[in-house]
Amino acid sequence: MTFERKLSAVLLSAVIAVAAPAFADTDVSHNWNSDNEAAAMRVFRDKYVALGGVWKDTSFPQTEESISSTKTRFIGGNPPMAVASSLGGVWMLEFAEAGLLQNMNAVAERENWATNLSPGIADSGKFDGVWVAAPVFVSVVNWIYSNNDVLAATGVTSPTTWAEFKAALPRLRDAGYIPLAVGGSSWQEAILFDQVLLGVGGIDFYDGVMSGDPEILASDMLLNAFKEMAHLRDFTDEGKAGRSWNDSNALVLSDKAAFFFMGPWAAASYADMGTEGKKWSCRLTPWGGGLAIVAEGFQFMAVEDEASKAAQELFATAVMDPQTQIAAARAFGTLPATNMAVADDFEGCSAKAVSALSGGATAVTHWNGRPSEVGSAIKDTVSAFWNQAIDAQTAQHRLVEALAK
Amino acid sequence: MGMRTTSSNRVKRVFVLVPSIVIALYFIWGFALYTGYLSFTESRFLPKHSWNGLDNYRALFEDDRWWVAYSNLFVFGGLYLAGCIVLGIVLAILLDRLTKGESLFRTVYLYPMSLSLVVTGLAWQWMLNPTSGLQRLVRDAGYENFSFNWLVSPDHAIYTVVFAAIWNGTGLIMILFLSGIKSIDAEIWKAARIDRIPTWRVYVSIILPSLRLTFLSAVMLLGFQVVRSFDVVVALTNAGPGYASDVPAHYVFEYFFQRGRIGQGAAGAVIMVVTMILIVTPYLLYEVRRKQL
Repeated sequence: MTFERKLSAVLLSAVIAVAAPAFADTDVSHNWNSDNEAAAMRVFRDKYVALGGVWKDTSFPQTEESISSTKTRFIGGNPPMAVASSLGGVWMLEFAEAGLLQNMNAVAERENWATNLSPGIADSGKFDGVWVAAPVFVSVVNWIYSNNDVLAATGVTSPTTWAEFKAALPRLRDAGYIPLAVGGSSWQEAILFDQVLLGVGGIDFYDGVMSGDPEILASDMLLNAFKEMAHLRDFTDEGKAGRSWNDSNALVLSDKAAFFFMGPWAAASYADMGTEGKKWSCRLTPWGGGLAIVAEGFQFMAVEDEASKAAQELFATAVMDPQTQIAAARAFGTLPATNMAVADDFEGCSAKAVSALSGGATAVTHWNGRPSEVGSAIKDTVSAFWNQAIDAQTAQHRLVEALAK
Repeated sequence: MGMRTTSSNRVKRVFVLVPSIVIALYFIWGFALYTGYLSFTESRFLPKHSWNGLDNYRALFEDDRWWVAYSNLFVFGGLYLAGCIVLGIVLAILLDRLTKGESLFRTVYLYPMSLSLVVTGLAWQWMLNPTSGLQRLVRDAGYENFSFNWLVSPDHAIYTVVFAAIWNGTGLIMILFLSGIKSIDAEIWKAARIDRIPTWRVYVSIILPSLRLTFLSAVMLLGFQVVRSFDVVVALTNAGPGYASDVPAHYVFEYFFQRGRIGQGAAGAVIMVVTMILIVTPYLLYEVRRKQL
């Protein structure tokens, strides 16, 4: 055997070894890599394995990459059986409209998914009335995280209104702190915008903007919201451009910044500072009097063979089990999608959110759980405005053009 | 005997060349044509074959972000080409004048090229970041009012990209010109010395004009870098703040792969290629004509 022949034999067998099992994959594509996310995934995995499933997963640093890989693998005829993402929004609708998702009605009806979930959450798992995804968590996005040591050092009391919040900012800045930690990507800037909308107009105003109410979009209040947002720029640091959300979060953790607006995924990193309410606090922003929510879960890809379909149903059963969801949500630090959870199951931030929800606070779908046009329009417009490419009038005009129904 | 070797050589040659020609045709021209085709379709998240005429181009031309990216191509391209070539020539001449330590300096100036553009971008991001890099350093040294925040300024961010790219690319251009200068007949220098022509004059009026082909290769090499400039932008500014330092290659990538707007991304790619053809063709024709004269 010549060297070339040996080499090609080795290469060929390597190709076969890599390619062969790929066609029988029943893996879950996800980006749950941080400690709390991985712990939550283990809860689902253990349940799935206990039910007799064989666990495989493929993980990525970001949702975009996981989604993009899933799409490519689908075109290649080898999709994962499920992919983790926000539901109801851009990531799911694009898959659903392109016909990439599996009809899960059989298992959903057998296990009464509809009655296990609150109506708003249940809708996010369906497309055209067909179950295509399993909602497992509800992310409440409108949190304010604060470093209480920094607040105490400057004599600022925790703000309970938008006006108090604004009044605290100059005092913090004069004392040498970064009043507000902000990151540099468009989705983070859009989360800041959420808070401004809630602060300036409240939860109904927020819902009006998100759902494209033409009167609210054209109102002076929206113009005013943009101006208020521009005002916040003076209370952020120069390092914000291009910064990731966890680096911004680290500013609060390291006593450099006072406030941070972020979803529930930021809460886990505060565990090092002790229990919530002492050195640090998370509060649903009180000024909106409501919650901006988005469902998280697993989309099921349209796989063909019976074995893969069976694995899919088994995985669906595992992740939709109410007790498993509650355990996974505790590990994650968020809320389960099931309506069987009570505040006593949770502590810290999640307990606050559960009591707010069960106490009847208005829950409005966040832009990330809405059609892609909504999320794109808000992210693009807000990012352009926040980075001074357009003025407030133009920003409002663009939202009217993109969102008004 | 001689005949037989030639014909079997020819067979070999064909055998070796055909696969690469087929692969190039398919993967370069085939994909380019397919991209062009997609730009006229309704493709969003997945390629779709329903025609929608010029809608994607309309959406592209109405997109503010596209125009920012497109004009950045010229800002970046112009400054990068000029910066690399001017600095590269100056360094090459200085090295040429050097009697000792040429190889040391040559290595030093070539080093940046051994770093990938991603690493270059990241390193410069750390240095230019106002809260942790140069600005912080100078302020901590006591100059409280020192300000250098181009990286985070929407008006200036693209220049930091130019800066990092020039730092990376100058070494290559320097080497190109240095080898060009070294290859010039030593008789020219002797003649110039006899005629008492000042050294700078020899470089400007004799040496550099005889390096036309080196110019051509430098412009071509750098031009490719400009068109595919992507990694340095992603690593340094991630097209921000906002989209102030976006470039067409990154725009196309984002619309293709992240936003599920394949049609619009393809339209951007087509405009990029057309722009390049419009710029490069006249230059090539000019150079070819000159040669013929």
